[in-house]
Amino acid sequence: MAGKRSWKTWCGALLGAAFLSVGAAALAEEYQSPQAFLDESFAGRPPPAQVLWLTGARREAATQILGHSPRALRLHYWARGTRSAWILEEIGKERPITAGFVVDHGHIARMKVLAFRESRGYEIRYPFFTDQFRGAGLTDDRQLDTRIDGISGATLSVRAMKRLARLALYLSRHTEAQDAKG
Amino acid sequence: MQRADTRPRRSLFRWHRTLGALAALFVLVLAGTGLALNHTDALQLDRHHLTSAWLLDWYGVAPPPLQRAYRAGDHWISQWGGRVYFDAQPLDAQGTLHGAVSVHGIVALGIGSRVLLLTDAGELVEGLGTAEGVPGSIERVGLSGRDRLVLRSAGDDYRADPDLLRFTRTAVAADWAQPAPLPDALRERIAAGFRGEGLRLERVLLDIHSGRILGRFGPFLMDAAALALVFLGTSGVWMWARHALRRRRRR
Repeated sequence: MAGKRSWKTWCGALLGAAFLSVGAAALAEEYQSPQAFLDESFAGRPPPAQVLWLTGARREAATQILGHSPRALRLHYWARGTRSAWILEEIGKERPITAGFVVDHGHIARMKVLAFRESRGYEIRYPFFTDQFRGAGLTDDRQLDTRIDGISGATLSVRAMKRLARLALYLSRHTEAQDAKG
Repeated sequence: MQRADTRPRRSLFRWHRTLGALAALFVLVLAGTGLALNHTDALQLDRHHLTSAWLLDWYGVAPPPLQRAYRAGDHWISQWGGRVYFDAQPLDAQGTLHGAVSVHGIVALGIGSRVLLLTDAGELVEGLGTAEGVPGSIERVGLSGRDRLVLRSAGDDYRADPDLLRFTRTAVAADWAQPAPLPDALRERIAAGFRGEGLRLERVLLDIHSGRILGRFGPFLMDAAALALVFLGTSGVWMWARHALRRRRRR
C-alpha cells in the first residue's frame, strides 16, 4: 500500500514539474538578447549599427506591409556586404514580439524569435516554424515568395512574424541601395 | 377570546408596517431605477455620462499618484503609477522612469532598460536597448557638455554619440536630470484625460439598482429590500383577503 502511494506521489510530482516547466516556458520573455543574436549572425564581430529613416515612400510601404503605421521613425540595422541584420517588433495579439532577421542577397538567411510576451502562441520560437523562413524572398507586391505554414492556436503570432519578415526583406533592399549610392 | 383572535392579525399588521417603513427607501430606489432601466434606449441612458469628481473617485476612476516628473526642454515627462506621459499625452512605455533630457531637439528618456527618443511632438523616433549599448539597468539620465546624452548604470557612465546611435562606456562629467514639480495646469490635464468622458448613466443606474454601488455587501442590502417587498406584497394580500372574507361573513 505504501509502495503504491509512493509511486503515485512520484508520478504526480513529475507531472507537476512537467506542467510547471511548460508554463514557465510559456511565460518566459527573452529567449536571446539582441546583442547575442547579432554576435551569432556576424560570427562574433557585428558591424557598427546604422540607421534607416522610415519616412516618405519608405514609411508608406512599411505601413502597407504592417497594416499600420510603424511605431518608430527610424530603425537600427547592422550590415556588412550583402548581409544585414534587423531586430524588429510587432504585436501578436496584445503584447509585442521581438524577432531578429538576417537577410543575405535579398533572402532571409536566419530568423529567430528573441522575446515573446503573450500567454499563448510561443510555439513560433521553435525551429520547426522559424526554419520555414530560410530562403524566403519578397515578390513584387511585397509578399513572401515562400509559403509559411501556420500553427494552430498561434495565428496572430504567425501573422506578425510574416509581416516582420516582409518588412525586413523590404528594408534590406533600401540599405543595399543606400550602400550602392554611398 | 377576541384578543386571542386578533393577536395574529395585529402582529402581521405591525410587521407589515415596520418592514414597509424600513424598506421604503430601498424599495423606492429599486422601483425607480428599474423603471428607468426598462427604457434605456428611449432615455438614451448609455449616451449620457456623469463626470462628477466625487462619483468618479467613488468608482476609483482617478489617476494613480504622480511618482516623478522631469522637465526636458519645453516638455514634461511624468510617471503616474505605471503610466508615462509626454506632456499630457500617454506614452506606450513600461518600466521605471529614470530621467529625461532634451538634446538637439530630441527628448530622450530613460525608462526601464531602454532609452526612448521622441520628437518635439512626442512622436517616437526610436527605442534604444542593449543592442545599441544601453546598459541593462539605467539609474540616471543626463547631459555631458549640454549636447551629449549620458546614462549612468551600476556606477558607470555611458555616453551616446552625437547621432544618438550607440552608447559607449566612458568617464564623463554630467548634469543629471532631476525630478521637478509638475505644473498644476498640466497635472489637471493629465488627471482629466485619465478620467476620460466619465461614467455612463446606464452603468451607474445598474449599480444602484443592484446595490453594487455600495460595495461588496450592497447587493445583499438590495436582496433584503427585494425580500421585504415580497413580504409586503404577500402580507398585504393576506390581510386584504382576510378583511374581505370577514366583511362577507358579516353580511
